Amino acid sequence: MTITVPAARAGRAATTLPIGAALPSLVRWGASADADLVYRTLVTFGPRTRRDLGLELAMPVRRIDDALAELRSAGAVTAGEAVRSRTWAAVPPDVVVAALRTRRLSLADERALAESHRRIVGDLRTRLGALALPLSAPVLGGLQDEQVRYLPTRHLTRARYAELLPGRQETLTINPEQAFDAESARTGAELDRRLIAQGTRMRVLGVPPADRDTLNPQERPHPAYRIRESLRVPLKLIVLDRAVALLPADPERIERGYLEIGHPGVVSALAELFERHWEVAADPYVGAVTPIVLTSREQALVDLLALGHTDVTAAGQLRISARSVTNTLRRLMDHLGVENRFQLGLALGAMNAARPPQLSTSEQDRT
Amino acid sequence: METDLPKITLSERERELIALLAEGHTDAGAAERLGISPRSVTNILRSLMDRLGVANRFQLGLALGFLRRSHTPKAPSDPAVTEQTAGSAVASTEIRP
Repeated sequence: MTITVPAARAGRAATTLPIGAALPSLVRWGASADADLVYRTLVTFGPRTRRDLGLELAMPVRRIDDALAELRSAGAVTAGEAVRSRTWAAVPPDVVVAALRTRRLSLADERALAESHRRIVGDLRTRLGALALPLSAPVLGGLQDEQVRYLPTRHLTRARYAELLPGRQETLTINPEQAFDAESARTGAELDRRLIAQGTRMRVLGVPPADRDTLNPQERPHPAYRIRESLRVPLKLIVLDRAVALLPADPERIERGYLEIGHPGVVSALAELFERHWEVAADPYVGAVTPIVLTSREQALVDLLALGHTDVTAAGQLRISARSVTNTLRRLMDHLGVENRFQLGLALGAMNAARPPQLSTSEQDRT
Repeated sequence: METDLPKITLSERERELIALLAEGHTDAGAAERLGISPRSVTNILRSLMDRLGVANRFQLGLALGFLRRSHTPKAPSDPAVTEQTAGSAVASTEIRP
């Protein structure tokens, strides 16, 4: 990332954004709230020194420094020449967002994952003398020895996985995938329902989705799941009741199926590995935005508007004044940070708070 | 979930316009940016509203917001899964070999 930006460019960044212009939140791409605020200030009001920023934002200079360091490493700000009262300038938002996006998208490093997988398997093999099979080119399915079974295709793996599930108390899963393919998702969803139904406690350690919008209000998953996220997961792994472990036979070629391991030493080593990574992984819901919940009046109003009512007819239905309708919507728009009805619709549609008329009678209709 | 909304493909121009309006631009502001007349903006939106079967801007926003939500790549095509994972902040909730 360029460190010195021509004054003209910095100037453009400082002046092209009118106060209050729409500006994507950098938090969406993994920046801290402080960094976002500092960036926002610089991009809107032009270059500043750290001291000025501290005064204007009423923040300790130490926090400003942290934020600036973060922004600088992300290529979002550039430092001026002067050492004593150095000014910081914002890089244009589109450039910053593109850079942050790339940074997040590059996180799923398949090669590093494959290496880590091989290292772990190699280590288990030497330590415990287990898994002594030609992992690079497994040929025949079936039992390799008493405690290791090779499931040569994903299809067979899924079938076997389904057999293994009934009655399980606990699953530990590490998912390096950022998204699942359709077939895997289909089978998985069905099996997940069964697991939930039988009360299995599930812990899932995954990687953050490549492009999560952390400001988009999200529902929590079913309480049967506990979820944590880490940028560095060691391998794909499923451990059932600390008695059986499943892992890909070849980390780079998932179509080669899985190993089912019943060797107690290996399984407990894998469970420990899970726990170690779980310990340092983050709970994605800490610090996340809690969903915006509409009040009953807001919901009733939004439902009517979704059906095509005007403000006036909706007011009539709700037995409130048209002015109350306007005020209610105004408040809701402020709450959601939008300016007009179109944006309000977009926001509500995206958070599934209301549905367009074609869908208002479907199974999920709110009553 | 059954989606009765027509699966529409937006043209380049429609996408650009929607993006501008979604950022909070006015019709006139968006028209200027796109180098088209405000009347064209109205017409583009009108035809989009007709295709989606909605009558006003709020409903248009709802429909587009809803479509965007249910057609995100994170949500696989399977309806049950879409139900379960759309809107989930965590892509890898599920356990599957």
